[in-house]
Amino acid sequence: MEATRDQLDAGTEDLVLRARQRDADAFAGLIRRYERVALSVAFSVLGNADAAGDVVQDAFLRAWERLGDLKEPARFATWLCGIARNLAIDVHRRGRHVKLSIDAAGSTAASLVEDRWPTDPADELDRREQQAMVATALQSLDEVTRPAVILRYYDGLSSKEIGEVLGMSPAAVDMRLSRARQQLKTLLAPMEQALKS
Amino acid sequence: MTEMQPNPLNEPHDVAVREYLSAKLDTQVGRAEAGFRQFLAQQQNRPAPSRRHHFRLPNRFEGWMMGIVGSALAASLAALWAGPSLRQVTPQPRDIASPPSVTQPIFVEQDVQSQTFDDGTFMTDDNTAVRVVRRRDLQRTRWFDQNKNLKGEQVVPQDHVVYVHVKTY
Repeated sequence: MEATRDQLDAGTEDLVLRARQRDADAFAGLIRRYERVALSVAFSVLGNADAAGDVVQDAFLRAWERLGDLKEPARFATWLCGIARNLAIDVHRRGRHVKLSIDAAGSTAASLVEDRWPTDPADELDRREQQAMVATALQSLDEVTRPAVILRYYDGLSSKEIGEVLGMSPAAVDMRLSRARQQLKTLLAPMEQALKS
Repeated sequence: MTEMQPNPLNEPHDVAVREYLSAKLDTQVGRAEAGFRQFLAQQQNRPAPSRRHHFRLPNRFEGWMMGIVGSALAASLAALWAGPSLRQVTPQPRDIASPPSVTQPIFVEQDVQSQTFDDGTFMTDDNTAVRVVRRRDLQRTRWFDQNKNLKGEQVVPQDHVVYVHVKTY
């Protein structure tokens, strides 16, 4: 049976307390548990997966070094996401990341390990066009709504969990998600029509 | 954290967004733990810091101390600068085969940026419709040799052209 979020959080507190005693395995457990959440937050700022991955690495290293500053161990995710968001904003301001349009075209280092032509090239082209369209649609969301959407779609967090990470009420998260979903539906309608045809 | 479950996101645009995010971010999962383990390994290889006594000089000696340290630093720099011209150098036979005392690793980073272009459709001599898809790769390799303090970069562009037969009705 899958552990509920409450059980996970109970485990989080224990892991944080052990990590404070410089237990590296406990901290690695925290990384495995919250890496996706931190990636969502960093990606929502940068729009580039590689740069988001770099930021998340840095964020966890900072968290490891400053774990003593965390007053409430159960709120590790909120604290970590704050670090990740600040680092991502810093990187974004310095312009140290590849632009969204490049990433949207699918030119990540990960493509190095993919097969050169995994599918029909025409399908591949269509897939990339769809990705570019989704990237543009996400980019059109405002800076508060975008991380909420990514946390819901990528990590499957509930409104309450998203609210805790982003410092918003669950009702406010619901309202933003509802509007965002409508906006995405409108923006991605041409893609849906193309798929149907 | 909560018992509230997110609404199912099963409409086509929901699926598209979810697939896009998975395609982008799943490749990054695992990097943070690897980076953390690497950081720990580097920390362990570093020599342990020696215990130092932190003491403060009385204020009246601080100015003197600064002056002495500054003078010593200037003298060292002057000796380093003038040293080779003052010292008689006797060439020594060099053992070429002997390795350097400390060998640092060479860091290499490689990435490939790819873009795919649709170059349109054309008819071949035998009246076959063909779609031209061109993929341009820029393979960039960067390295840093700590022993020689050298940096290098090489960029290799490559074009792959694929002709796709277009069915005509």
